[in-house]
Amino acid sequence: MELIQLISLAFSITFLIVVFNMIIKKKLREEFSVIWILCAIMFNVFAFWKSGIDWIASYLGVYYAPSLLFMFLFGALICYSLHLSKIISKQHNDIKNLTQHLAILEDKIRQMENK
Amino acid sequence: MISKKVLIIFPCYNEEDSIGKLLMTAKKLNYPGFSFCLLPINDCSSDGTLIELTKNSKTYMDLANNLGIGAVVQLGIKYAQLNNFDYAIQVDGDGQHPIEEIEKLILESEASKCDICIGSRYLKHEGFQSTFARRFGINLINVLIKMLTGKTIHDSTSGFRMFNKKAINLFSNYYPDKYPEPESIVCALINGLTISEVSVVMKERQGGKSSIAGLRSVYYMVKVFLAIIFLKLSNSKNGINSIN
Repeated sequence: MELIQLISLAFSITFLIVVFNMIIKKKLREEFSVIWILCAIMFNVFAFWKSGIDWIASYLGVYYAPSLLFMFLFGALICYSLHLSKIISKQHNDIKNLTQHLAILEDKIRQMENK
Repeated sequence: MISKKVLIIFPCYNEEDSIGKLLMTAKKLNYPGFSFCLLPINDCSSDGTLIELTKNSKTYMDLANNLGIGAVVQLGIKYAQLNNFDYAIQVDGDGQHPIEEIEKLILESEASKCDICIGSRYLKHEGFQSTFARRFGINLINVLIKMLTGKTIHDSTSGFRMFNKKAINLFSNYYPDKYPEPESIVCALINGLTISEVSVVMKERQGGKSSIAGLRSVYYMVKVFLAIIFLKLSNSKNGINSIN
């Protein structure tokens, strides 16, 4: 086994442990972890199965096999960024609603105090 | 003798067809030794649910944002804790949980002194049994719960539940978000709470649509699985409950 395989295996296992720890301590919600877990598993699979990338690349018609790995990684990161943007949009909206609600409540209190 | 205070939480999301009638039936609730307070909570409905609440109840809550069933029930539980209620009961706003069956929950809670009393559809197979696909998923979750906690729960997705003070204090700190019923059961068992089940007869949905249907339910099953497994992991890692 090559040194790089050992390094990538060690890295992805450490990464998984960190992610699991964060979920257990409630610092990360389970839904966000799914994509990280999938990536780590895929990373590990290809770390061991060297010919795997070559095989899939030739099947898909990709000339330079490692670029397939980069493509997957980029694709995953783009999807994840989009997912995060969606969440931020919802939170932005929620904060707006809360702020407006708060203003209405404060006005009610002021009116009650003035009576 | 001082009567025990019971808070009945009605989570409502687009239930304008059923919530009015439900609240009118609930107002007539009378049981010796118990006083009832109704708390409907409007989870940012887009229909006339809020109007129904203003017409039919003195006390209600209207949320600024849609939070989902988990957070709404937790809000009710926090209200129960703040106002020193002895029990809190969850009754869904769609009319599936009949008011008449509350008596069974109360009887069991008082008799067995359990922390959580679940109104179960599947103990005796009476009444509305839900679709095949739903029951299959529920059975899967029941198996997982049995494996991880050793306790057999027949209806782990039933929202028709009664909490005592111990459960109220636990869930005020942590209550799961989406599809909270199975995960909350595991959380309770891990923290040493006792759970009892009574057989109840539930009705079919009186109005509105279920928020969990079709492919979405598969996604929720996966999420529930993950969440339960992580809960169990966190327990065995730390030894004591890691709910902060």
